[in-house]
Amino acid sequence: MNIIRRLVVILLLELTALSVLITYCWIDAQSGVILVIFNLLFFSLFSQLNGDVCVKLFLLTTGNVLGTVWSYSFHMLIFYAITYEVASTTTLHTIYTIVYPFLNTFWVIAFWSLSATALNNSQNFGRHMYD
Amino acid sequence: MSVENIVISVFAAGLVAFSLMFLPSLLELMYPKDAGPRVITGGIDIVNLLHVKSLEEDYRLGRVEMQKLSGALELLPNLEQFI
Amino acid sequence: MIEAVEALFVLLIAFMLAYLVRHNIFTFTVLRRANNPKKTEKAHAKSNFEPSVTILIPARNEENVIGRLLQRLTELTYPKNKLQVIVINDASDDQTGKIVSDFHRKYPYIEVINRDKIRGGKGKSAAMNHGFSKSNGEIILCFDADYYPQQDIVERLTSPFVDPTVGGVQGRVVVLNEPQNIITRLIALERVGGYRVDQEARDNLGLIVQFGGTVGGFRRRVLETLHGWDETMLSEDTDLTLRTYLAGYKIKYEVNAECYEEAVDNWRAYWRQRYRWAKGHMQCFFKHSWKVLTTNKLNLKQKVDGLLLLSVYFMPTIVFLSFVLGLILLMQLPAHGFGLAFMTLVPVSCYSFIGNFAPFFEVGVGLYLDGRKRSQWLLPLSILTFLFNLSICGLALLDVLAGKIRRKRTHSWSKTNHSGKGDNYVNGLTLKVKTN
Repeated sequence: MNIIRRLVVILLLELTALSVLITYCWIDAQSGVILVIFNLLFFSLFSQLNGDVCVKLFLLTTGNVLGTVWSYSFHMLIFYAITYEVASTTTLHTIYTIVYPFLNTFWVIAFWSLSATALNNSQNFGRHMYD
Repeated sequence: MSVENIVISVFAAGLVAFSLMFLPSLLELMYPKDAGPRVITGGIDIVNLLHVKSLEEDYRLGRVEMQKLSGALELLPNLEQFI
Repeated sequence: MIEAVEALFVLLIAFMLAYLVRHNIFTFTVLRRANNPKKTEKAHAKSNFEPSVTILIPARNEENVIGRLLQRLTELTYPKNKLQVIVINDASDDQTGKIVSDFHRKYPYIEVINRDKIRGGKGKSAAMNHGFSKSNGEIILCFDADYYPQQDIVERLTSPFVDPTVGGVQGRVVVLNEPQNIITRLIALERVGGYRVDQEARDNLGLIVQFGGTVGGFRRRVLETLHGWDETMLSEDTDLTLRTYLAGYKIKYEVNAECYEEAVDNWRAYWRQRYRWAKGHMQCFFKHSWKVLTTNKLNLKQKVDGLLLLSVYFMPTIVFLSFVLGLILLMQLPAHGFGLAFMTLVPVSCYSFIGNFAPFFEVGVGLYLDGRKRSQWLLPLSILTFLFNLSICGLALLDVLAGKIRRKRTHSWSKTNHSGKGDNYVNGLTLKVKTN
């Protein structure tokens, strides 16, 4: 069981690293940087919360995959908009650079809200239980 | 597949993904399971609760067993009414 | 010219990153302390410290809620011979005065001061000062009329005053009518972030704990030194907070001293309330920022936190401005200046990504610490209030600047109306919770 857990942990870490690599090399450097920041932030956060290590890593990997898919979709949208000449390249590039980080907030918040629910333990930190 | 269709597909997929992000929120709004208000009781000593928690850990009482026990206790009559 | 834009841009980025770091430090501090409960959880020790207490309740047209609060105050566990309750009926048109008088007849320690239309209606600060002038308690606590405290709240709020350096105290506010609609649920999330994480972290780190105007109080001596509430300020609570710290005292935050509040339940009322807070806060910035910077009563971290606290409502404008300047710089710099473009936009992106996320981060952790699960799912909807607040802050800043330019006081006091719908939830709670 221990070996299987270790394999799962290694696999999840590799998937996370792969997501970051794919995003940085094949999508966009800015997206890659955002994913690295995401990993740093959530790794430091998840380490403080209670829960199984495998669960935490699974959530982190899911977040990375989500971020990669999101980056790819948005990047492709801009790419095809440029190809189809919806607007000038400079305008689209500027929109992408300025608006994109803010749009990332949406999927990060959604991800955070669901993962916090998954990790919420039954331990009563405060004296008040909610029924 | 033409470029037009690809752009529309990606845009539609993006919109769907965006909507899905808000699905849990809508679920909680429509079928609230954690709507509060949070109970504030007052007068409960924090130290006592921590002691209870460690007791559970010491004896490793499972949550399932505790739920069964509390369920059984609920069915017992309130004997105080007969005093 | 471009150098000036660059310098301004760097300054704005530094400011934004300071907020980013601050929010994340607060969240991690509270989490770390929650994971070490033996160090941080203080048992509610019974002490012999029972000073005389006056509870001030400013009330204007609060017939829907005042009865509930006064009834609750009669159920407090604090010795009634050391308790004085003063309700300041501030030029009410409804039955507020009658309700309070009825309570006074039955409970003599509940007093009423009736302010007529000539003297009254000049804002909460004026009412509080009037009440304070008639008080005799060593500790002065304040509650708004729509609040519903826990039974031992006075003991919990007075216990920090054992320390002579403590000038004020602030308790925790919990939204009572949370299930009512989407607005009340989102406000409840805000409160969790603010009180469960923000305030607690500031208290743990020895920073500026903010007095919220209610569920808190001050030492009588401190209020006398500070000459009470400033009647020219919209955010009299923030003003009092800064003046307390500038006088060399501190405010303690008691997370276990909890009180229900009835939150606003429509967007119009939400807008008016937040607009008032934003304007008031900005007023306080102009009044106190230089004093905070130059005083010797605060240490360096308190000065930094004080300035960040005072500037919080400017942040949306600062973020918007930094985007605009970033855009200008991006267009002005040569095309091959990738490094410069990168350096220009990475911090903005960083803030935009993490900085905007930081408040949600706090709320999520606060909910986690409270043991709330499904409420986490509402976090994406908080973006609505977040965007709403962005527009409020922008307009409030324009309003304040316009007032400064015209040297005219552009604010007028507006009152939040309470419907009394919180009664439904109180009744539901008292059925579930068997009180002693």
